[in-house]
Parts: sequence; structure tokens; C-alpha cells
Amino acid sequence: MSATTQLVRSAKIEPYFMRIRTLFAGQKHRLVLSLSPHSLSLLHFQRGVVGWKRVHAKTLDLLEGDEYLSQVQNSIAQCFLEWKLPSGTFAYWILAGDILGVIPPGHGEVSASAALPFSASDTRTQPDTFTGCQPCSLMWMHKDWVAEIERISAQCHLQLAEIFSRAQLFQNHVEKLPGRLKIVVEQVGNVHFLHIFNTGGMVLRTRVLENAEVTALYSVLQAEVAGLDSKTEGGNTRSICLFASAELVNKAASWSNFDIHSLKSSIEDELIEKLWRSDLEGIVIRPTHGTVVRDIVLLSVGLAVVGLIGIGFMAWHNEKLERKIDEGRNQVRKDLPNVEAAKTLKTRTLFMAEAVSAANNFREKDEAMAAFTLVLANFPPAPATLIYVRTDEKTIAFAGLGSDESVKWLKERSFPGYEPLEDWVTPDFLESSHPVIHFKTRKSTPDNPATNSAASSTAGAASRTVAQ
Amino acid sequence: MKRDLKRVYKEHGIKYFAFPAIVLLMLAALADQRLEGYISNREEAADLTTRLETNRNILDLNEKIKRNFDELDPNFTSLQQQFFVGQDISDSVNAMQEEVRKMLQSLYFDNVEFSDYSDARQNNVSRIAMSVRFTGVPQQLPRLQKALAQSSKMLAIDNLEINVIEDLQRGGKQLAVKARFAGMHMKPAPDYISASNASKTTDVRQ
Repeated sequence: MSATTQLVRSAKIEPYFMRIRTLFAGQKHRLVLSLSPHSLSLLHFQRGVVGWKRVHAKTLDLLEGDEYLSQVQNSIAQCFLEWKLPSGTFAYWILAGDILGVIPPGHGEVSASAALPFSASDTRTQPDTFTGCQPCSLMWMHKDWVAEIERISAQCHLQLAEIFSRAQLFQNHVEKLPGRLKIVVEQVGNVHFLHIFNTGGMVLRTRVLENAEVTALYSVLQAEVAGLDSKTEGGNTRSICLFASAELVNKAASWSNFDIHSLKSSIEDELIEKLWRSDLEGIVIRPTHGTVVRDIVLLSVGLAVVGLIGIGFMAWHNEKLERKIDEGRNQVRKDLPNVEAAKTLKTRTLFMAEAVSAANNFREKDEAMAAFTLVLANFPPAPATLIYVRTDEKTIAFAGLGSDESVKWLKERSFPGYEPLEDWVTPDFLESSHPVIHFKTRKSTPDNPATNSAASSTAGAASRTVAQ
Repeated sequence: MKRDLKRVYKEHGIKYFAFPAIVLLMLAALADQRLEGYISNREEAADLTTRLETNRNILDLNEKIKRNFDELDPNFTSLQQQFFVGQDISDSVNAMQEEVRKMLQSLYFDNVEFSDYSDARQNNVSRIAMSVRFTGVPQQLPRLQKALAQSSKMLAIDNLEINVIEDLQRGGKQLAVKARFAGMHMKPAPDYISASNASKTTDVRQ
């Protein structure tokens, strides 16, 4: 069972609502077909969030003969089923010069349409406005061919949108290059195509070359250029650019009248995609820009709906905020006396805590006078005489007159809370007094408590020894 | 696609392209009309929420603070008299100098000289200190210690240096004392305003 038959059967059993659904789904898919005598390339594009994306590509070989068109239809139907394309998908065809021809612009008053080989009513035409200049060449196609392409598309559940000329694949490429004429000879399989463009990139000629013509390419091109020069403005043949593969160029002995450029072997799919994405126009069968208008209108309506919902929500929220603000202000006003009282209480409590803490700290450091009385209480009896004392929070140093017994007496004693006495080097101003007693000590650390013998620091002891 | 956009422009001009812009402008105009003060209301509501939360925290903590206040109050009341109170620390330094001078003179110390004033910090409560040189006899020192302990103000001696020197006027020996006296300075304590008084103050402000 052929793919076309399968397709027809599936269409018959497709319920009505499914067709509606697939019609909308079809707007998200595009199929681009490039037909040449021996091959058919198909590219499937799908619209995503960020734009159109190529999702499938396939090239199928075709055999020339009576079955040619049915082969084309079957190939398309096969891809249609394989790629699960929805019905109503727009199809864009790219046809070679044997089906879609080009008539170059005529001289002066003679328009290109006058040169059509059939009556205007039997053809579909489209001016090539690529350069934007007048007069322009005319792409044309016989209505029977259009009907045939339309029939094949419809049989495959596709909507024929537009038909391009194969020469248009190269228009953007040759536009920027120098030359009065630009000639592209491309090869797909064993088929060669000839495309001739004017200086601005407008298509002047496009056709499929016979094998014999490929062999005698140089003379064919000279004849084509001569033919075009007779129809258009003649000129210097030296400024003709030829883009062809190196293999073809080597076949001729001399290319004296041409500037030869090697034609990079671009992938055909890339060229097809570029043409489809470009703003170049072909023969329009079914305009698709209505979908853009619909999308813009939908976008605008969507924006309006979302915006109105947003504004409505914000208006509702605004009212809620205003109520909340009123309630909040009332609550703040109600709380204010208590909060103010709490703040002053806190400030005063912190102040009090600071004062109490500072006072406790102050008392802990009150040691100098106590240390002095400690020295007095532990100083040896007469004839020993204290002549100098220095105390502070941590240290004691003292000097006095006396005998060796006095020194021995002191060394046997310990100051409660202090380290054992050490010898102290007296300052210069005491040297003249020749003090026999000169000691110092420091407060013992908690880890190394000094001998904590009875701390009998009594104020009354002061009068006992000092400067007797 | 570019081709379709070009055809729409060719057929309809900018009409359809202007649709979204017109819709946006109309929405902006509507928002401007209907949502006056929305942003400021949002900010004010957020501020009020923060303020109410802060107030709630303050009031929640108040009970704990009250307990601390009650604990500290008796101690502080007695301490308050022992501090040199003044808005400016120099006032307290002067008051302390007078207090020390009076004390030393009442104990019959001679040649009282002050120098090297300092204060440890400049907060609400600060330790202030000054060096004092004076002469006397040994019997006066226990009295000084007693006087310091009984002083109405909190006073202490940080460093003490006593040297026995000749008394040129009266003959014999006397003590040359250099002491660094320390006291406590305090700024006037902040007043506590009760809730009823705060309410009156707020009413007056309003």
C-alpha cells in the first residue's frame, strides 16, 4: 500500500474535531520542498518558543519518466506520515528552471510580461523585486504546473503557500560580489543548473543544463551572455563573475572573459533554509501573512487581558493596602504610649545596669591602699624603718633601713595574696639612704595562689613602724 | 518571518504593528488613573508592618526589662549618690577635685597639689582620675583610708607612692605622698516616663 493511499485512508477516518485541532496545529508547522529532476529535498520546520526550528530534513532520489510526479507525491506522503505533520501545513516549493522560468527585463518600453511564451492568463507570474529597481525580471510558471503542484500538495494534506525559483537560493550570496553579471553553475547529483544574475543580484536566467551543454560550458555561457546583452544593456564581458566547481572550470581550456570563483559546496539544505527564512518573495499561491496579523491581534488581546487582570488585581490589592494602612496607623497610635514608656524604661534600665556594673568594677580595683596597709602590717619591728613604698593594683615595691635580721625576718614572712618577695633594685634617689631592705612582689595569679596565710591587714598596724 | 512581516507592512502599513504599543499605552494610562499611590501604599504598608513588629517586640520584652529594672533600682538609687553626676565630664572632675581637696585638708595633709586629670571613657558612666601630691605624717594615712571608705562619694586610690623625706620646716621626717585618686562620673540618669504620661505627651504633640 503506497504512502498516498495510507494518507487518504487516514484522512477519511479522522474525526471532524480532530481536523479542527490539526488545522490549528498546522499553523505551527511548515514544509519546504525543493524539487529538481532527480531529487526532492524536504525540510520540516516547527514553531517553538524562540521561533522556527528545523526538526526534520530528508533528500529523496527520483527517477525521470511517467511515474515522476507520483514518485514526488508518494515521497511527500511518506514524510508526512513519518513526521506526523498535521493537515493544513503550509508548503513552500522551490522549483528549477525547467518548471519555473525567468524572463529578463526588456529594453525601454518592452516589458518582461510581453516576452512570456504563453498568454498571461495561462501563467502565474511574480516580478523579481530583489534589487528594488525597475524594470525587473519576471518569474513565471504555467498554470498547469501550478495546478499540478497544488494537486500534489492537496493530496498530501498540505496547503500550497508559495513557489520560489531555484535561482533565488543564490541571490543573497551573489548580491555583494562585484561584476556586471554573476553566473552560478551548481551541481546536484548529476544535474547541473545555470543561474545568471545582474549586478544587483536580480535573476536574469535560470535553467537546467543538458549533459552536452555541461561539456561545452564555456561556449554555452558565452552564448547566454550574448543573448542577455542583446536583450539588456551590453557591456564589457570581462566583468562577469562565474561561480562554478573546480571540476567544471577545468573542462574548458580558457576562461579569458570570466573572473572565475570556486563555488563552495554549500549544503543544499542550508541554502533552502536561508531562502525560506529570508524576505525574498516567490509566486504567491496562498498568502500566509494573515497568520502574522492574527498573531499580532492575539498578542495585543493577550496583553490587554493580562494587563487588565494585572491592573484589576493591583486595584484590589491597593484597596486592601489602604485598609491595612488605616488599621496599622490606628494600632501604632494605640501602642505609642506603651511603646514610648517601654523605650524610656529600657534606656533607664540599661543606664542603671551600666552604672552598677561600673561601680562593681571600680570596687574590685581598689587595691593600692590595701596593699600599703599590708606592707605596714608585715614590716619587721624596730630598728627597721620603712623609707619608701609604691603600690598599685598589682604590684608592691618597698625599701627600708634595718639590719640583716630585719631582712631575714621579712624573707621568712609572706604577703597574703602575693608572690614571694623578690629583691628590688632601688631607684637612684634612694641610693643615698643605703636601704638594706628592698623588696618587690606582685599579686599571685588564680592558678598560682600565694601563701594565703592569715591576712591580718589592720589599719592600726600603720603606726607601728613607719618612720619611727 | 521576515517575508510575512514585510507583506503585512506592505498591505496594512504600521497599523497592526502599533496594536501592542497602543494596548500597552492604554494599560499604562489606565494604571496611572486607577493605581495612584499604589507603590507608596505598598511601601507605607511594609513600613507599618515593620514598625508594628518592632513595637510588638518592644512590648514583649518590656516585662523582662521591668523585672531587671526592679532588681537594679534599689542598688542604683544608693549608688547614684556616690557618683559625680554631671552632663559634662569636666563638671564631675571639678567636683571630685573639690571633694578630694576637702578630704585631705580635713585630715591636715599639707601642700596638696593636683595634676594629670584623666577620664577612662566618655560614655554614660566613666572612670575619672587625678594625681595628687601632699605631705603628712604616718598617723594620717590610716585616717585617709578610713575617710575614703566613709566618703559619700565613691573614691579610691589606684597608685600610691610614699617617700620618707626630711621635714625642713618642723625638723624630723615626714611623708611625701603621691596618690592617684579615682572616682566615678555619671551623666544624669534618663527619666522614666510611664504609659499614662507618655499618652499625655503624645496628645500634646498631636
